[in-house]
Amino acid sequence: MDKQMELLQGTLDMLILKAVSLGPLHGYGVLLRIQQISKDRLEIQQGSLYPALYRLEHQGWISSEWGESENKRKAKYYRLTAAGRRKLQMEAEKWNRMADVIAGILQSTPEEV
Amino acid sequence: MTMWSRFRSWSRTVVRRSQVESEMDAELRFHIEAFAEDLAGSGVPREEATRRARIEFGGIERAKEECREARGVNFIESLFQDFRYGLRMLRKNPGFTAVAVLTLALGIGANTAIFSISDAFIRKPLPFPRLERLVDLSETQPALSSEPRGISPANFLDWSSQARSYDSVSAWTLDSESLTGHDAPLKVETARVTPNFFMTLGAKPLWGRSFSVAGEGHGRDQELILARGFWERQLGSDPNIWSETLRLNGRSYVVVGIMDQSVNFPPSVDVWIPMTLQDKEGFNRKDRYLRGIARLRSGVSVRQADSESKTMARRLSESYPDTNRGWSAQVSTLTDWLNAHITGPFVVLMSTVVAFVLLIACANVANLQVVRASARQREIAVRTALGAGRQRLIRQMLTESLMLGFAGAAVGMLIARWSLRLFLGYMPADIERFVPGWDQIRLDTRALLFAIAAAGVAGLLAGLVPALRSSRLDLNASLKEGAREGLAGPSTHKSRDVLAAAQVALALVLLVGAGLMVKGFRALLDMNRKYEPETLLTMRVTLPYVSLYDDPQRRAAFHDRALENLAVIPGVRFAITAKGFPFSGLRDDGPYWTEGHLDARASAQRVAVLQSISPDYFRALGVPLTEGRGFRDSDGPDAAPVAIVARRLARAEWPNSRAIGQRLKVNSADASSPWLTVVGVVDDVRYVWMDRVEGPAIYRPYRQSPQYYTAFAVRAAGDPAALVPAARAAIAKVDPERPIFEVKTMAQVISESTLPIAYLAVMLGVAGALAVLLASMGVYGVMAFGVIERTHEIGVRMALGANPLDTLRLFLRRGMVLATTGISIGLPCALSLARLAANVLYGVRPNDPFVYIAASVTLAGIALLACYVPARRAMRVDPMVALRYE
Repeated sequence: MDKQMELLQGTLDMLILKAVSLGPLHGYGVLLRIQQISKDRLEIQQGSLYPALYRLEHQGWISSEWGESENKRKAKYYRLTAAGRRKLQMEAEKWNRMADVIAGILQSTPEEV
Repeated sequence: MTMWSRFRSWSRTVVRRSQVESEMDAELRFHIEAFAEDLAGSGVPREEATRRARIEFGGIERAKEECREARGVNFIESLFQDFRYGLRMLRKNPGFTAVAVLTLALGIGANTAIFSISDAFIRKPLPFPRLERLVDLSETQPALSSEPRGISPANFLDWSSQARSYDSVSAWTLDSESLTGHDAPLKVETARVTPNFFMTLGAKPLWGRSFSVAGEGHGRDQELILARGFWERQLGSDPNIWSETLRLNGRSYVVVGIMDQSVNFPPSVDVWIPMTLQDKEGFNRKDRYLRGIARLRSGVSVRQADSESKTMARRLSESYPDTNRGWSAQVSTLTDWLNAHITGPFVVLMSTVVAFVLLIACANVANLQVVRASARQREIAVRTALGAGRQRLIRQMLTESLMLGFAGAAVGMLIARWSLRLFLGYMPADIERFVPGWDQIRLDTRALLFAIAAAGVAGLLAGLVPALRSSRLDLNASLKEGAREGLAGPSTHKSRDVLAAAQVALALVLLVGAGLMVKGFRALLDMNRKYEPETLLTMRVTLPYVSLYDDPQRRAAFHDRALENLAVIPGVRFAITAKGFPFSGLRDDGPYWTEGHLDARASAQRVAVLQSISPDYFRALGVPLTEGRGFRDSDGPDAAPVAIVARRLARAEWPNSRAIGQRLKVNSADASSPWLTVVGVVDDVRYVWMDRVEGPAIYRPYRQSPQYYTAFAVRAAGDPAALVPAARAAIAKVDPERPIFEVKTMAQVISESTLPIAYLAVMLGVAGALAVLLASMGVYGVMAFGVIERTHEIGVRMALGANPLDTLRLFLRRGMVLATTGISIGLPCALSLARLAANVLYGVRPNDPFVYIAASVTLAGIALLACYVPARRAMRVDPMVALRYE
């Protein structure tokens, strides 16, 4: 079970970075943004979202400040830092390479081997 | 850090923490509310929306906990939490806490006390700057023994002028001389030192000046420096000392300085006098009476200096084969040299012993905590259900255990203080002076740091097993309604049993050690009964090398007259003389050669105690003559030179023939050295308690070998204390300038010289008793808890008709399995450790089966008792009560 969590966390971090790279968001907004981009195909554990945000902030990839939400309420907004941008780029490249490799393996036919 | 800034940083942590907490609250609240609003917007009723938002979010507390952890700074905070929680838990169980703290305190206290002692011996026996750079220089005879020997003056001069390893090289030699001009002549321990001696040590006088290094020569050797203790003790802190001259062995000296007492080097020194090694002595290569001390040049290691010294010794033995063949050299740190004999083995042995005690204490506390953890299962299960991670649980348990450790260290410091006071209090002042570092023993900051470190290790050791165990809990089983509290799985039994058996094993090792030591000590004392030491009054006298005593006839005459005067004292049965009596520190002090083996090479040398005695010596000590005759008054300087040998030597040298009539030479194989004819063989006498067996000895009549360093003794008919003034007067009548010192009964001499082993025996005895107590507590704890745990089961058995005796047997068997397992593991460990210890320890026979059997039986008996009490309780279980006991 632990292993699965870790895998999920890894991707969740990347998705969060991507979501806030499009503009500052509060926690709930991050959730909505990811659901929106993924067209609701990803189910995100809401409880695990905040620990991930805190971790990313602790690592310096996102920063936070208190601001006002759309309906005039105090909310904590996260934005991507420069380090976070580099991290996101790196993670995205890694992910794409990995996806290519895996896809290549899965598409291989007997003749190619 | 000041008090104020510490307070500020603490309060900031607290304030910031509550701010971070409230922000986290607000953030999560916003999320849920926004979510609920969205749901409401899509048509869900308001209340239902909030409920669903909460459910979808999941465990809020768990998320918060994870957030705190993700933030990282959480560690300190949760440590605070753990600490407060632990404090509450420990306060709730005062009995458990008290037993655990006290157990650890005993272990930590004992370790801290021994640490302070070892630290003083090993690290700072003397207060010299950069003590670790000071080295002892010795010559050695590798073929004969590993013991470092002295250096001859000519060898020393070559060594000091050629060696490149040192900043400065000095020599010293210790002698005892007579200070006259006061009421009675005083014995003074005189160190003759090269003028740069204090420069090498890096010591400066408290008052006055040091010896001047420049301008060595005439007049300089008329100066002396006093040890402060001697000045205060023997000279009444005389403030006019500067203007007086002191007469030592008939020569006059002026005092130029007073050294602080801590500069106790050579150990027990009273005055230092500069010596010059020019003139005739500068060519003396034969008499190795000097000791060398040097300060290493920076960057030179002891090993380098040592190999340089060996190279030089090789060169010297090639250039001067007559005096130097077979001799090598050795360089060791001054501290090692000081600790080579008694303090070194003492430190090793006692540190091991107290480490064992601490291990047993840890096992005990670990066991207590395992027991308590099973009683806390419900609590742990609840915490796990509420989201406490495994690591967090382990940390909580370890924090509690560490708190016990630190509390133990606090109490342990008190125990250490108290035991150090005992340790220091029992040492007579005139022995203390011979133990460098003794006056440095105290509980200082380093001891405190050691205690804290020991507490940390002990806390971790004692907490690891219970923490790992209890964090691996089956949640469902423990939370199930009706699960009996403290019902533990088989693995709890196992870890507790292992801990208890380990305690028994460790305790056995200590008990065997204590038994061997105490028995060895008793044997040592018993062996001396035969000398009837209570009625033998001994005293020592030193005749000076100078003046009239240069003449052997004069020395013999001194002995003659002293013996005559002593013999006529009323109440004296025998008056005798010898170079030294048993236990006065006489040791294989001279080489000998038997006829047919006259080989000057050092490798062919054998050594023996060379005694010089009066005819009544053996009779007065009760040593039987086994062959031949004793000495007679007629064995004088003009008669044929004779000798009596100890049986061991006779058997080793002439295994197939009679010893009587054989001839040997002592001290020198030269032609000028006379052949001594063996006229008798006597029983062996043990002169040094450190020796495992009686060493070889050769006795000569005092008139044929009159000594400078000599001793007298009278065998009293009654209490020898009454004879002291008369005995002093008897010798003073012969020469009023000779101080008579160490006037003690032989019983006193024996108890003082065996003091180190007595100390060890007592300390091992105490440690052994402590170990047995702790181990029996451990076994008792396991058994008592086992009974409580199985009360229900016992009830069922009884209700089904089991015999109460069967129940008793059930528990006794389990206890005995524990004890025998522990004992069978402990026995081989004890044997191998005892063999190791026997190498560094004198007088211990490691294979004494009696001790092993006695220790095993004692421990098994105590374990049986520790089982019996709880087992009886089990036997008396009332089935009705037990079955209701849920």
